[in-house]
Amino acid sequence: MTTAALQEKKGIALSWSAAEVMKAMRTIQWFIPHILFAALLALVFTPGADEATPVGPFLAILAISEAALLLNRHSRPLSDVMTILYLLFIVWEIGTTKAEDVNLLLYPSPAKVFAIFASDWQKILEGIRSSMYLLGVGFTAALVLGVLLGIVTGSVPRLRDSLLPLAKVVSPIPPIIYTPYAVAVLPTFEIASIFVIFSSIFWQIYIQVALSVANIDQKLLDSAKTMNLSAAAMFFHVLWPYCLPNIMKTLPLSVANAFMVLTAAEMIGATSGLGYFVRYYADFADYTRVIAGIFLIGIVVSALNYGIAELERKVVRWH
Amino acid sequence: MHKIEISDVSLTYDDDGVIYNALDRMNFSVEPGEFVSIIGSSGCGKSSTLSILAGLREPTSGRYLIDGEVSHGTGRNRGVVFQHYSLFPWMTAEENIAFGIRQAFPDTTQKEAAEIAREYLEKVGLAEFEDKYPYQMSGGMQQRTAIARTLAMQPEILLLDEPFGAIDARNRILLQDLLLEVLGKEKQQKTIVFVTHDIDEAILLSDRILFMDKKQISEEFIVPFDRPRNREKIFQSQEYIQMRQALLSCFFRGIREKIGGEEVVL
Repeated sequence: MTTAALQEKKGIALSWSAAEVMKAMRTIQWFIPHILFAALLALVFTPGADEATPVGPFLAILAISEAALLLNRHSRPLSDVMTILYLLFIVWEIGTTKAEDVNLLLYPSPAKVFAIFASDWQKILEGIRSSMYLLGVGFTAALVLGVLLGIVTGSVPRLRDSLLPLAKVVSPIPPIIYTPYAVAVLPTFEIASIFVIFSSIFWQIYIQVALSVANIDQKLLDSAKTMNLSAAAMFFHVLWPYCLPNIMKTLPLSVANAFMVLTAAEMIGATSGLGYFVRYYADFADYTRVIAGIFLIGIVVSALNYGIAELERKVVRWH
Repeated sequence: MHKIEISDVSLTYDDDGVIYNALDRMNFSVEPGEFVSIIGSSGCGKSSTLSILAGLREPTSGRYLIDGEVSHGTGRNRGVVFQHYSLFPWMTAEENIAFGIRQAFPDTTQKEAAEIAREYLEKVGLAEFEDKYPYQMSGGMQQRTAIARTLAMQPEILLLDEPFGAIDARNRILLQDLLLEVLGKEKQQKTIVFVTHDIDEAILLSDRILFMDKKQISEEFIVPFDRPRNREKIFQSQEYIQMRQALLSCFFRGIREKIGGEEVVL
């Protein structure tokens, strides 16, 4: 054999083995969540402590997540997320149905929790509707007033110097603290919770907008002035778009705050809504529904944040 | 009648109790259709002068007349191009111009304004950039858009505050030529005040150069070249060399006084 041929062979052998190792590792990684999925399915169909519950809803959830994983098969983060999720489900499934002497009232199986989504869907939808209504009204009011007053405060030095220090004193008070008093004083629970949601978001937006406007680039302002903008044009075409990216950045945090306050308020005095759902069934020691409610709140908050991120992408296109 | 008349204008700032004199009894006038450059080293007050002309500041004393009448505040008869940040970052090139048009001429429909905006973008050589946001454009393209917007608003007086100050040498030449070309095409002859610290730019563009020193106009030069101007021919002429020399000595006189007169050995 010539040296050239030998070198060639050696080269091929080397690159082949390195490539194979890489490929094998990738294949194994790719298979891990799917293997866990299969294991989970096997567990669900193995006889255990909880045989009465229909497994359909849980299987449906699993099928949906597996389908999402297969559709995005090249997404490493999604693959990792699903690996963790499946592991958690497996622990949960084994811990509740396959272990001995588990109190299924305190530790419901996943099938049992997800079955609630199927059996109680009307109550769940009604809860979402009620919570979203309160959140929507409080949020919109806070956004509109916060932006309006924030822009006015930010552009008038005298208001800025007097109102901002006051706002900085009032705003750190956690709005949850007002809840019992607001529920007692205001005529209906609805108004009380809208008020509390409003105050949980308003200050954040108001201070953010006022500071943005106060620190606006003088050159941009000069440019606007030399164009002889009307007050309305100045407001809607200069100051408002100037603040918009900052507002969009604080929105997810605001929504999380508002949601926290909302569910807390609902646990105190509501007769519907997501927080009420959880508290009501906790009173009856129906922990299956309590856990389902907690899952539901997580899903709703995530959906809201996803919506905000999408909105930001659509609305703020100049960065 | 002068188009612009600045008579005995002083401007003082009160910066937290420290009184700072930016302009000291300044006098000059600009004729209709004239292109006047204000030149001087930094801190001489040329940008303060422009902010008074634009109406962003009111003179502390003295009078500022446009067409023989006292002028207060900003006005539709003037358009300004700054060195930086003239464009609104949240509007595309076309939207920026169309917005300017709709401010100047409120009766214009959105569609008409967009059409005129595209015309002006074409004039400054940015026909394909109508949908670009300022962050997607180079500094030169942003300034071209800013010039297009100001022209589209059809002011009688154009005020330019070092519009090419932050642009590299090659693009600067292109923009100077473009400015002359675009101005030549405008129906109505604009009256222009151009602030710069670049001697060549001032000679090439203007009919008259005002040299600023010690917060007032200290020298005046008439630029003798015919229009349309040819950059190469001008730069080779004897008049150009002499004028450049004279302007340079104006700059150096100021510097020598600042660092202590004749005793300084460089």
